[in-house]
Amino acid sequence: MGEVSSKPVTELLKSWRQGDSTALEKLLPLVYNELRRIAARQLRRERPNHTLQPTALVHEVYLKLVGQHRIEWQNRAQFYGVAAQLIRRILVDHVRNRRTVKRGGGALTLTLDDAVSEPARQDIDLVKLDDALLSLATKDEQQSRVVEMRFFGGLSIEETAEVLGISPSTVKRDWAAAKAWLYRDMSTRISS
Amino acid sequence: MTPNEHREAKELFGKVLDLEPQSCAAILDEACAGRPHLRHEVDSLLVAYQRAGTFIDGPLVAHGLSPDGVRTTAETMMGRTLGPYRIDSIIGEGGMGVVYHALDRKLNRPVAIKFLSDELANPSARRRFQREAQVASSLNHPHILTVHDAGEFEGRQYLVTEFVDGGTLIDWTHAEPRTWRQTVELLVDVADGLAAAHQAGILHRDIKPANILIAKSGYAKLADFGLAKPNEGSTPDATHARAEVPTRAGAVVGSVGYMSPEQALGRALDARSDIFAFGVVLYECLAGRPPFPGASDLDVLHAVVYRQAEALPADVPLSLRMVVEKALEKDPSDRFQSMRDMVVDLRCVVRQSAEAPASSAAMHRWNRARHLLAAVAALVVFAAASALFVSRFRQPAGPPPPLVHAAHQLR
Repeated sequence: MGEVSSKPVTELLKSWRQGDSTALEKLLPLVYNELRRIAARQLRRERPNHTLQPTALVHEVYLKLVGQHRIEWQNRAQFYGVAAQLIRRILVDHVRNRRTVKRGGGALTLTLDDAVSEPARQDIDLVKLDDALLSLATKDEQQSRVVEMRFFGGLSIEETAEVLGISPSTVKRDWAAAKAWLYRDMSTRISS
Repeated sequence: MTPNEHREAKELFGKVLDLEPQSCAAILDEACAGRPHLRHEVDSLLVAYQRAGTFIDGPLVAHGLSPDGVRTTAETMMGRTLGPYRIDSIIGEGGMGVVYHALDRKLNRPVAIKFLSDELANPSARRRFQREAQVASSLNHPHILTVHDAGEFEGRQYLVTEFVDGGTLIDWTHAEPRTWRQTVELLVDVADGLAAAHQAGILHRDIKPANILIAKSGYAKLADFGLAKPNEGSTPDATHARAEVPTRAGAVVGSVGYMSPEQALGRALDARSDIFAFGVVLYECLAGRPPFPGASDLDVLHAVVYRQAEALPADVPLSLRMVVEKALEKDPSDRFQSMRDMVVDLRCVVRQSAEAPASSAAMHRWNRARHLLAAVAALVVFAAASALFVSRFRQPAGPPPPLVHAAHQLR
């Protein structure tokens, strides 16, 4: 695996920000490959206690690709926005593949650890969440993007606002409404 | 729901989310006037938001990402055998521990096995778990989840119950819009189970939609009997009681919304506390929103203790509204004094409306009354007229006898 130099990534981010849409096309595979490489390394370890933290993953990729250079905050947010989308794809694909390889059934979920109190955690079926997000996107693309960035990319409200070019209060509202919508959608799916 | 309607609902939702219930209702009333669809969507989102707790609030952690579940313990239990039971998959996880789907190989039937979570594995919790297992298994009622067996496996307590293929009451209400009649007909059976338990001297203490299982056949079962009960005499143990839906500051939550005022205040509990909780469940199913909403646990508890629930929708029959309101009285002595009384009244509601179908019961009665009234009126007029006529005919010179007299003669 050849190491990707950070220079082109920084340049590509800048061009993309300035409106060059081909920059994104060039950027995606670079980031995607790096994300996959690191994710695969982490996921290969089968110790049941081992955890993968997507947010940390993005961070690692970011440091690898961009970190050495000083970069504008807006560009960093932009990068995380792209990464969030890719992280979602990598994780959901991983879960889907594993599910078909091994015998069916079994709850395949991710765990949300609440940093404050250990017992406060909930399991989320990632594939189901992905389906629900797809369905949400047909009604409200922006809402699904907000969830993608906040949940998969670990972006803050301000960063999400920056990437999507909307106000932080809109992000907050979209996030709350999407959370309710997705929760309802996923609970209904359980019963069907 | 079109994307436009979706966006409209989203905006309204955002506008009222942090408001006090009263001002929230006022804004929604105005904004959704003549558009029940929109109102329903916003209400439904508000309820879902409240139920969601910390759902998808980060940080996201993938535990090993293996296909059979994520927990270490959960993983190691898969495929294992406990006596005649072979564990197949995880059904869910609640405050008391993990619940697995398993096969009873001796009797070749599916069962559910619930393990007491390690966090609760202190000696007193174990004793309680065992005792409650015995108590629950002594409750032989068609609408109470049957306990088959209990035991200990590698130092962990477990309970074997019948397996209900379906979901909880939460799923049931979300699956499609339900009429008040469907709701009451479903829940009156659960109420009957609860009444039977009370008559046997057992309190549930954690009545909530997540503890009411609905089979695909539409059959309801009350689960988790007494398992999650807080210790008597202690302060309200909110962390314990709400463990089913994890939360953190600011998010709203599971069982807090089903606590009775006396439970919220840490006072002694009796059957009337279960009655209150059952009233909350009924209210929520009928209204599509909780009776005591709030932005945080504390808000909810405050509302439970001090605030009156808003009136139920107008399409809920008055007699049913009265039953729910009586169950939700703040003072236990103003509520139904026994679950049995509540069951009787609920049955009465169903029966009354069944006798006069298609909501014309009242109209029908009124029509009958009108006919009777008309007949009586005609009779009175006729009697008066004939009395007058008779008296004039007989006594042309004298004054007519008082009408009272004439009426009296008629009898």
